Amino acid sequence: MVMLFCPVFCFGEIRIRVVDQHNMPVDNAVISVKADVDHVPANKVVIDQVGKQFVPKTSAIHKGQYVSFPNSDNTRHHVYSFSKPKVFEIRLYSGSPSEPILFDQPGIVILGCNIHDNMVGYIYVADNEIYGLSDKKGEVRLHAPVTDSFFVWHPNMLSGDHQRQRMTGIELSETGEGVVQIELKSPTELPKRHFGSKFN
Amino acid sequence: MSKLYQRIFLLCTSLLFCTSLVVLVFVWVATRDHAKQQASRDMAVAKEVLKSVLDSSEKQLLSTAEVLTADFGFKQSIASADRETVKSVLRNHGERINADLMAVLSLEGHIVASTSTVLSANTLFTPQSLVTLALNNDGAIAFVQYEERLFQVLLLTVKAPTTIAVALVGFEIGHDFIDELKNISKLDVTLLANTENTHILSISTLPDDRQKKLFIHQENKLLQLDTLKAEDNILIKQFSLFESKDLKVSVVLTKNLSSVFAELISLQKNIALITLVAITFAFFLAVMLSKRLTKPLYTLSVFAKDVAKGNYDKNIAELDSFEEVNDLSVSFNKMCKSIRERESEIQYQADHDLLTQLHNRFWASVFLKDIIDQGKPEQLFVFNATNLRSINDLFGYHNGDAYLKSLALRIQNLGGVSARVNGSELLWVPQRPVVYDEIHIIQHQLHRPHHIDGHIIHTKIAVAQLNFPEDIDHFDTLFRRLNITIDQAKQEPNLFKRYDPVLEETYLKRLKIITELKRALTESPSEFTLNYQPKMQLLCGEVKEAEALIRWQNPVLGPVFPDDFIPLAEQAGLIGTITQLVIKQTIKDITRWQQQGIELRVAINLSMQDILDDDVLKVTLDCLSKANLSAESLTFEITEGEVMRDPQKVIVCLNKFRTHGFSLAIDDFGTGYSSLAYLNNLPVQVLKIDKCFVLQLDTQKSDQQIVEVTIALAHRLGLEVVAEGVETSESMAYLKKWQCDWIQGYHLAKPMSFDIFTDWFIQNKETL
Repeated sequence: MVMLFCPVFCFGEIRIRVVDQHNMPVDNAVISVKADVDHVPANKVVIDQVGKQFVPKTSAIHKGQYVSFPNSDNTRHHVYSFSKPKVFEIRLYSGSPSEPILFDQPGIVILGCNIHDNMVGYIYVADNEIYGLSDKKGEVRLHAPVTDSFFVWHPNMLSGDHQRQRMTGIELSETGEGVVQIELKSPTELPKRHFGSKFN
Repeated sequence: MSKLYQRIFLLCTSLLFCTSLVVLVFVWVATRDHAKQQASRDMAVAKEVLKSVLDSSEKQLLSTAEVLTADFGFKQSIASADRETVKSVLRNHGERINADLMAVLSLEGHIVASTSTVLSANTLFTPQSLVTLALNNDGAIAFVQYEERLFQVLLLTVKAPTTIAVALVGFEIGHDFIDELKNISKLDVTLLANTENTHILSISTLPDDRQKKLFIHQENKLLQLDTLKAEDNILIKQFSLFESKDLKVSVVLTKNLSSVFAELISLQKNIALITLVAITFAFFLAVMLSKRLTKPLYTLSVFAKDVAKGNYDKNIAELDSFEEVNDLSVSFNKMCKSIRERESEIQYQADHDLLTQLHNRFWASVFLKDIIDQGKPEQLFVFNATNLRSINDLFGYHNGDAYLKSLALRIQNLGGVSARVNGSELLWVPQRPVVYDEIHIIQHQLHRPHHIDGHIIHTKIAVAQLNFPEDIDHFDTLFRRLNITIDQAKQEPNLFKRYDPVLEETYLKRLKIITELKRALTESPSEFTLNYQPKMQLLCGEVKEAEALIRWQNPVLGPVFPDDFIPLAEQAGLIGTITQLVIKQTIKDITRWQQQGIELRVAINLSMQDILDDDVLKVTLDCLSKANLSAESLTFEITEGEVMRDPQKVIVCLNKFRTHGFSLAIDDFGTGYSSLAYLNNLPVQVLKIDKCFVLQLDTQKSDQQIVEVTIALAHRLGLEVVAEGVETSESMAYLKKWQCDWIQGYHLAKPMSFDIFTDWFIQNKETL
């Protein structure tokens, strides 16, 4: 009903649930809706390194935001990214503060640690989008113009980890609930770093 | 038949030959198998070595790739598409390990950078499947081929942090590689790479021509094992190294067994040589051994042949080193001796009479023949124990034998040569000539009684003497003359007779008579004629009877008297034939007389044989019936002597004659050994007094007495009397006085042939 009467610019509470091809909830998926955003969120985004992992692993920020990378581990990390939106590297000693880094290009940034091969993080840099990350239940709440087209991104998407997918025709219920289904790579298809173990 | 010599020889050589051959073959086979096994093992080891080398090569590739892909600068240069940096990093790392291929591939499979011309930048990497595999597994390892070159490559994903590219590190598997392998394993290595249909490459440490041969025999087996052609002895082991859709890489390990077989051949040659030497040795040994064994056998066989020929004197030397041969020699000698002894025993028995121990007849013949042939003057005496038979009967054969032994001993003691020639005859050839007088002494000596087993045995020894060479000129005549003489000696009153040629003549004549008799009876019975001597009945003075007397005129012998040939005929068994002839002729003559009106009864003489012979009676009856005459026409005379030889039998037969109605007479009465008791039983009607009593009846008183009494006796017994041999009328008068019934004799008439008799009868019929 809301949809019937609301023009394109009619904002509403949208609740999207993200599921995979098996209808299992997907967490840490970015859902975004195209919208005019007049100002960049001012908050500083923090991506910490804890236990040789990026925490949070996946972050969604808006273009123009700054991200700082404190190192809470007692080991050195060499954070880097070769992703087009932002190519950078920071050699971080434990606990050393760092300058926050400006992400001024939209896109997917994949973070890695040169020292620790298994440290992988993701930053979704949005541009004129209203976005959110799905929780464990796979739910995302957005206060955004009602629409049936969403952008969705997850690192394990079958279509690739560096490109978001546009989903159209997502029907919202009266209460603004909708389901976005994406295809994820099966666990077996995920690259395994076991090739070398053959020789050990 | 095979020779022992050859056998032993063959046995020795073949035994050793076979043994050696067997050993040779076993060693041959065993060493060859050992070599094979050894080579196989080497091969298996080599395979493992090869694998291990490849493994370590892989490890090296991996570690290089890992280092490479971990390099931040490298990642950076790839991410920033800094081609030159990428290349230099690749080169740097590649040089460290001497890699032949270093490249970076994009996620789409394009070659981004490469240090080798084999992989060109901006081209698509092949095989694509390998890239896919690497992306899926974060890496891949495989063999690939470019431009007919084989490479072992390792692909590893470059993660920054996710996979942004694939790095490639590789070694060329070429001659260097296989040479290195050959160094380690000491085997020839051949690498073969094939795609589905095509053969891409083969590299080998073998020279070219060998490689070709390999392709013909690509099996995991041993190439032919001709150990004499060392060239071709190769052991092959093939196994697959790598297999994918696009490429198949296999390795062929080959080992040349020549050196191994060279050793083998050397060993085999040695063994063969040893075998040859052994066989040669065995050959000579065998020759020696077989000679050694067969020589004594041969000697013994020669010896045995000698013995067979009759040489029993030899002895084999009993000194051989083999006990068995010695035993054989000893046995041979024993056998030889035994044969010798036996032969002499046999010889003795052949020459001697076993009872008397004198020489026997056979030996005597030889001995005497020798004397005859040499014409040596010798005397021969034959002694015959005339009463041996009665000695046996009286004292028993045991004593009889003892007597003979005793007699033989006496004769032996005379010296010279003595022999026993038959049951009761012994002969003696004295050492020196014996004069006539001495013979009686000898005979007297021999006549001394013998004391045998408590008995006193008296003997009578007949002696015959024959002198060599005058009495016996030829061996054939020896025993005949000897027998004739001794037979005659037995007849002599002094029991001695010197050989007289007359004796032989008589003997021979007797033989002749018998021969002629036989012949005449069968071939020319006309030689025999019958003469008839009339008998006159004194009472009426009529001739009513005639005695048939046979006469024989032989062309060879001339006239032969019945006294000569009748006894011989009896001995020869011919009397029956003669008698039948007489009977037949008599009946014919009676018939003829009847035709002339002359009625005469004819008397025929019968011997005992005739009487006992059934045929005589049968023939008589047959002829009589044929001639239509009755039994009254004939009468039969049998001499007293004949009857008394077996009176009982004779009586039975005479009775047979009697039953047919024949009249019978007893002839020559008074001269024989008669028994008056039998006389009474004889179915005779007539008694004929022997002519010896009648011939001089007129002058001899004694004869007169006998005749008179005999006539009376005969009459008392109911017999008629015939007096035979009446020659004078005075005799006839006496006989008439004594009432003799019949007379016969020259006074009346002598025997006449049928015709003459017939004439005489007709003439005198009136006068009588």
